[in-house]
Amino acid sequence: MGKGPIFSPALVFATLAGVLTLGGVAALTWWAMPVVPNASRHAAEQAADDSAAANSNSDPTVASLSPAATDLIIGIGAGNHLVAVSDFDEDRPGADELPHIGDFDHVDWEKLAAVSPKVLVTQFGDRMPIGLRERCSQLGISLVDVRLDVIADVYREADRLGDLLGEQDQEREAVADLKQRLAAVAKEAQNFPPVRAAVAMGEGGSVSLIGPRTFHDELLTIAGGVNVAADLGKPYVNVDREQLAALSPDVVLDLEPSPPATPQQLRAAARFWQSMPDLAAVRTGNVRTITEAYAARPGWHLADLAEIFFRDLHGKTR
Amino acid sequence: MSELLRAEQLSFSYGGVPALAGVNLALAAGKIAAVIGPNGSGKSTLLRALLGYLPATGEIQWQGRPLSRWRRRELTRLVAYLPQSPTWQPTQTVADALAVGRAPYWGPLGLESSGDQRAVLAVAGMLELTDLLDRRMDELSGGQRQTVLLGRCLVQQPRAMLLDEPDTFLDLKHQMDLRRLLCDLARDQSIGVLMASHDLNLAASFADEVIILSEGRVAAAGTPDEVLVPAILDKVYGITMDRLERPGGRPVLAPRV
Amino acid sequence: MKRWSVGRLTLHVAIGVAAWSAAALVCLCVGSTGVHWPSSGEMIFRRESVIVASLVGAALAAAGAAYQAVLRNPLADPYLLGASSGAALAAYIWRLPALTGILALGGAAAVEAGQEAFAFAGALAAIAVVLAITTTRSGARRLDPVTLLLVGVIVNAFNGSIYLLLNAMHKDMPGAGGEIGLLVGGIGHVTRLQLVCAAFFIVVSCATLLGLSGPLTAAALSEPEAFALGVRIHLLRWVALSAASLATAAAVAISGPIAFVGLICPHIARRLVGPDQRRLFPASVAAGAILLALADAASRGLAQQHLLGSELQVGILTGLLGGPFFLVLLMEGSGQ
Repeated sequence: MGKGPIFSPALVFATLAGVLTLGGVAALTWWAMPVVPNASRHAAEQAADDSAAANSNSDPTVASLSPAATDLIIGIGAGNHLVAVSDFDEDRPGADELPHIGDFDHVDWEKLAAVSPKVLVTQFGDRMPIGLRERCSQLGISLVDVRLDVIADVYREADRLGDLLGEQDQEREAVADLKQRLAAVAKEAQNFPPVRAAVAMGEGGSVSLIGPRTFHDELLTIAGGVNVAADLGKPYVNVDREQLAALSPDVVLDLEPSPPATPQQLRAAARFWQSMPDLAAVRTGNVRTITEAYAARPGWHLADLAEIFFRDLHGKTR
Repeated sequence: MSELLRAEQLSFSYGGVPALAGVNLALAAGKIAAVIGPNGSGKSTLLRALLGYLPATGEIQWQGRPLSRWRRRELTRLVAYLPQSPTWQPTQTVADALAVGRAPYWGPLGLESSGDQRAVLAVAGMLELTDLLDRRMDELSGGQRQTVLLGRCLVQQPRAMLLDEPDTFLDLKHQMDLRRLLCDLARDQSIGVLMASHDLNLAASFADEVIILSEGRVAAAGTPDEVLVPAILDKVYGITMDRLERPGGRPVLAPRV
Repeated sequence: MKRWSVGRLTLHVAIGVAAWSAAALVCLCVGSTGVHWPSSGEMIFRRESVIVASLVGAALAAAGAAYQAVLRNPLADPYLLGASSGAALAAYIWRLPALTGILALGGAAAVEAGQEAFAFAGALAAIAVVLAITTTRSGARRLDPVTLLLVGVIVNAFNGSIYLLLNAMHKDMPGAGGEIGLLVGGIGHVTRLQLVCAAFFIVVSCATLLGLSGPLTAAALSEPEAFALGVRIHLLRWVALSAASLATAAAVAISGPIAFVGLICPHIARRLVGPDQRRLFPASVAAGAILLALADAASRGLAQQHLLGSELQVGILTGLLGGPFFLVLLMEGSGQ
């Protein structure tokens, strides 16, 4: 075997090719990557977004990536500003036949650019996808992130969206109406003794109970219920049948909104509750299934849900 | 001496590649036959075909009965087989490794009879493994392990043994032990042994018959004296051999340097 | 040395049963409302949990032992041939609106059978596909271990992709239960009928595998050696894999894919009684029942504190066991 030169032509070529490829990949990546945002600028940017949107033209179009926000926009009377909704939005009055532009993980930028809204409403909170803000500002879209955990949030965000979309008058009126309906439910509930209840979601061997610091909990209280999950401390808690038996609710409000719950799922859920015949709610036939699409998401249907809760807790329609 | 095994016109191909072509051989009870030949000459294939594991063409008769007329269970009590690299598990004890050889005799659920236990103990005694019965296989030396694996064949209580290069990993002492053991088995228990081997001289030293395979054919067959001659071996191995006569013993073959 | 007699087999089984009984008693005392002997109400729930967990654990461990023996691979687990991905996919499809009409066609029985029966069928279907493709590749109705594993990987990946595709098309709000719940196993509520059916399949399967433990011991050797010992290796593979797959399908139908039990328990059993399948199989089954019952008890007990925000599904717990287990194996292996 002869000894070739140390820097054989093959070796040199391979090294050059490798370096060039790496360099090319690095350049492409640099060009394609969005800049990572600094979390501490979030609040300032939020305010900047809002004022920018407010200063833009008087009839701003809006796209919504959150079904709850869509409800809000329609509810405050700004439904005619809607140009696009999320993948999760089912068709309903005010939001039918609109293009669907994405979900919690990704946004269809092409479709979004095609409808070119002035405002994009999201409900990401801390889980804002990286680069979303940058993309929006590149496209000249104002990003508005809403928080909708409790009833007060709904009023606040309704005001904000009303201002943003130039529908302040309609919005104030709608909010007043909403508050009035909720107050009416609360007043009526005073005629009945408080009912120990659980608001449940889920299937299989364990369910999630909805606890304090949620709008469900507040609506339950308004409707004259006492949340058995109040002491569990967390907004959403998985419990098994043993724990349910210990909590012993008199009424179970079983939310089955998944769009829409199929008959076989509802039957499986019913069978689950029937497997606890000694539970007070089961014994007295007080396991109520709520299948409205908005049952699990906060938004404009607070009063509707409160009325449903009232009916299921006290067995009477208002 | 009863005839244990007869094969006529045995042929087998792997895919399109012929491995055996027209092999004839016979083995009598109590005799030791050695099959030698270069790598790829078909030694392992021959053993597996005789076992019935490979579907070879030609006639194979065990104890005068064609292979196809033997039921599995019967055949396992007749023939034992040891491949070139036998399988063993590191955490197995020697007793367990030996016991597996009794599988043809187990009842349902793998239940063993006292006969099974006796067979294992007898073989352990014969092979001087009694003290090692509780040791793990990975704690033994290579030679000891090979002895255990040979013992696994013996507990089967076969009438014939097909051994594929059992001497490969053994040092000189263990090779001699193997030689002595096989001779004892042939003489005392009339077991017929067909042994493939790399080692010409080991084969020469104790086999009753030597069969030389070359490219799947029998190049020569007969007593060691008749067959282990340079004229034949040079052609088969492709190198020049010297035959050295040993006074009072079997000849020794060595390549000419 | 002792021979493997009826007495010894009975002794091994008895020890397994005794160990399980002790573990079951401990598990009954642990619950999500506290560690104490259960009241009659709690007893109903805890008893069901312990029974289901033991049954599923036993099934997975039995299947794992059989798979590892037949495939001659110590890393084989019962989900290799597609059972869990098939079950998850079928369970997900069951939830879709499109199924409502189809189920109605099947009548009341189809509807009552529920998601678990669907999952069972899905698991069996996936395994059948793997076996069919393998025999076509290997020819002559043979099940070659390497081909089996590869085809299993492919079918698992395919099922997973269909699952994700369906999930993307049918937008489910992420939330409790739902599609994630189908990917992690847990001991939940099953109806009596479902439990009896599952138990039936699992018992039949375990009995078959126990009966095959003799040939399976010999099958640990290479094919020619096993052949020489009278093992009909191809028939054995078919029967053993079918029985093991039946047990896996039943287990995964009622509990979802619980990780690592089928993989770890044969190894635990091997440590205790050695690699001989006749001893290993009953030990593995006992280990599986005990391990999963204890893991389920741990997950219920942890739920008291609402640690990690929710009741920890037992599939996550067993998954956490896997890492350290293999680390120990690796360290011991290199130590030799």
